[in-house]
Amino acid sequence: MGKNLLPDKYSPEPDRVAVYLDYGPMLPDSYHQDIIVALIRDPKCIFAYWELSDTAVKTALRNIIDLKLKWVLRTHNLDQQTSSDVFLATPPNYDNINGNYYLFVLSDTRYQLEIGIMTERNGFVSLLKSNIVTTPKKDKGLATGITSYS
Amino acid sequence: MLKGYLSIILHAHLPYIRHPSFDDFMEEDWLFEAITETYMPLLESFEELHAQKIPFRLTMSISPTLCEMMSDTILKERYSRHLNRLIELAGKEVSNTANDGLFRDAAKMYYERFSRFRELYRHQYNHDLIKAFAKFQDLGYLEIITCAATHGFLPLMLHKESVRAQVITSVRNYHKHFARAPKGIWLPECAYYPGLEEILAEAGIKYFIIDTHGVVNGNPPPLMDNYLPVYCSRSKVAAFARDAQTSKQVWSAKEGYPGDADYREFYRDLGYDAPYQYIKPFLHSDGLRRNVGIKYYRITGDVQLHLKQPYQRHNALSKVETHADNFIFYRQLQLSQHPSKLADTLPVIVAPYDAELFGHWWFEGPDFIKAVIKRMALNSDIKLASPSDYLARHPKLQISQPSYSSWGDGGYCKVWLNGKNDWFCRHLHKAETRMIEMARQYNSSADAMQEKALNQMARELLLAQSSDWAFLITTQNSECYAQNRFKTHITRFNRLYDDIKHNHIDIEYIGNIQSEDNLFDEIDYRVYNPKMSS
Repeated sequence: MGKNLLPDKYSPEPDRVAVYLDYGPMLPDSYHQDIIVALIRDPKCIFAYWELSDTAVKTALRNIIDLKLKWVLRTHNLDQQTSSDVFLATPPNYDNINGNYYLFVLSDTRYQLEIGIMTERNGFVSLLKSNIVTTPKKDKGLATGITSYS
Repeated sequence: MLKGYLSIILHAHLPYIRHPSFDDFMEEDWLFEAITETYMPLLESFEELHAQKIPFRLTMSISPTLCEMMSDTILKERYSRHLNRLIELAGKEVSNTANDGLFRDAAKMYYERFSRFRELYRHQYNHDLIKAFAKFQDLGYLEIITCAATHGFLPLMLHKESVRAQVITSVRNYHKHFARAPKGIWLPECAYYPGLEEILAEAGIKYFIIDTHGVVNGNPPPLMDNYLPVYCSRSKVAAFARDAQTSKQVWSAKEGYPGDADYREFYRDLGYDAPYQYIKPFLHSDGLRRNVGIKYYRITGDVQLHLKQPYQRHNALSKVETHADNFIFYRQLQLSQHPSKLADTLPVIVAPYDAELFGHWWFEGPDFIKAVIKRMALNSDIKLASPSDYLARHPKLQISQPSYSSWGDGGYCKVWLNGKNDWFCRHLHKAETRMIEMARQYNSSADAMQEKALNQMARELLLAQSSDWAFLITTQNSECYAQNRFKTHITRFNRLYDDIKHNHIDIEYIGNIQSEDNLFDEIDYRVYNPKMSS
């Protein structure tokens, strides 16, 4: 039957059935914890994700009376002793906040991330600090093992 | 005069896929295809070389999940059924092409090949592929190494205990299947982070494989790029780096050998070519066309599938000989150009590949390996050696700290950490934290039911950590299945955690999920205890 030079794959099967795609059970949106984790993606990029419980947020906000709060993801370059901020979207409510972000960074450098609130009166109020990561030296991988056959 | 060594390393791995409650499950075919197209052809080549008294030395990692599937009763029965159906289809093809000069020989080749494999699998190996590979290890032809338990991507794990559980579980599983300790480990995706060697050393591992830049970017820089292994600074575990040139010649679909016009075309398959009513009995119950493993065409060139030309086996095998000559020529050239800079040592070219490239993707791959081995047996300049052979002969090596790296696209983690799959992290990390909490709490006080639940929790976490799920989502292959598997294992883990916490263990529930996720019967959840020592 290998002799068909024109495969009939382009014509629909006569009694093809609709297939139900089951992507699996729903997972929790949050684990009600206070955590920020930094992970190295490559020499120029760190991935961060965080979760903040409503308790942690309420505790932090107790002494803040500013109405204009800005949520900040602060990146500390521990080798150069510098830091930079990314302003995050204000959460719609303070019940179990979670989020993530890809940060573009320098290679071969130590970093720590911090999530907090920037206020006019109190300045930066820290909520959580991440683990410390060291980005690897910049080099191009071979990239042949994955892209050629899959 | 001996100028150096060639270390060919084949990494055999598939995720744990076993669905006993379904009679007919599409993703189980991945194992059956790999057995028919890669593992059996490799074993058949080894048998032939052994019979001809041709010496060889290869290294193979067989991942623990693959070992568990190869030794699973249900999957063995299903593989036999799969092979029988393939032989039935090939037999029909022989009849149908009897008067067809273009396809008759290929149809006959498939029929004979599958029939030989059935004979080998049933009678010579008694359905036990682990024993078949172990035989060649015992004969000294193969060095079989291990891999992390479920091929977890180690640099993205949150806790050291979790990495240790992957490594120690794999070493215990290797003991179960091969009755000895593994000398080396294949790090899943060659993914390494500084400090990992401390866990490897604790587990008794002597060496691992790393991508080129992992060693080249080491501190201090290596004396000879990737031509000499290094001992890691923190523990005396050796890192063997992949050779870029050797990889490219074999891996690259376009520039490498597998892309040659005379080799068999992977993407043109009878499952799509044959009239639907003819092929339907050989498809799954969903009736969807799929690859069945009988392919009549050669790559031909950069043309559309319907313009591919018929496969001519003798032309392909002749090309294998040419490519084997070319492969050896370049290895000799490399060794001539890179004499060792370290006294009393010789360089080594490390050539690691996914085993499934040979036979599954590149049909003639096992013939190529056989042809290379036959040439190497007559070559006095290069010797085949496993990494542990090399370490035994050249124990004095440079000390250097390798760099964070993987062999994935881009050389780091973006295949396993990107916008499509980064949501895995928070669930995996929470599960790691919870598993460690439980291992600590129940280190010496679990009753039989808690013990069962805790061990199943460990299985579910390990299964959720398989790097395959994130990979499949990135590459958009079986994405739905990958998501389902990941979420199912996390859900089962969380349910068990809650049940233990609230003293509501449901033994029937555990029995049900254990009947599906039944790997690692030797598992001990205490491996997650931070105080645990191997």
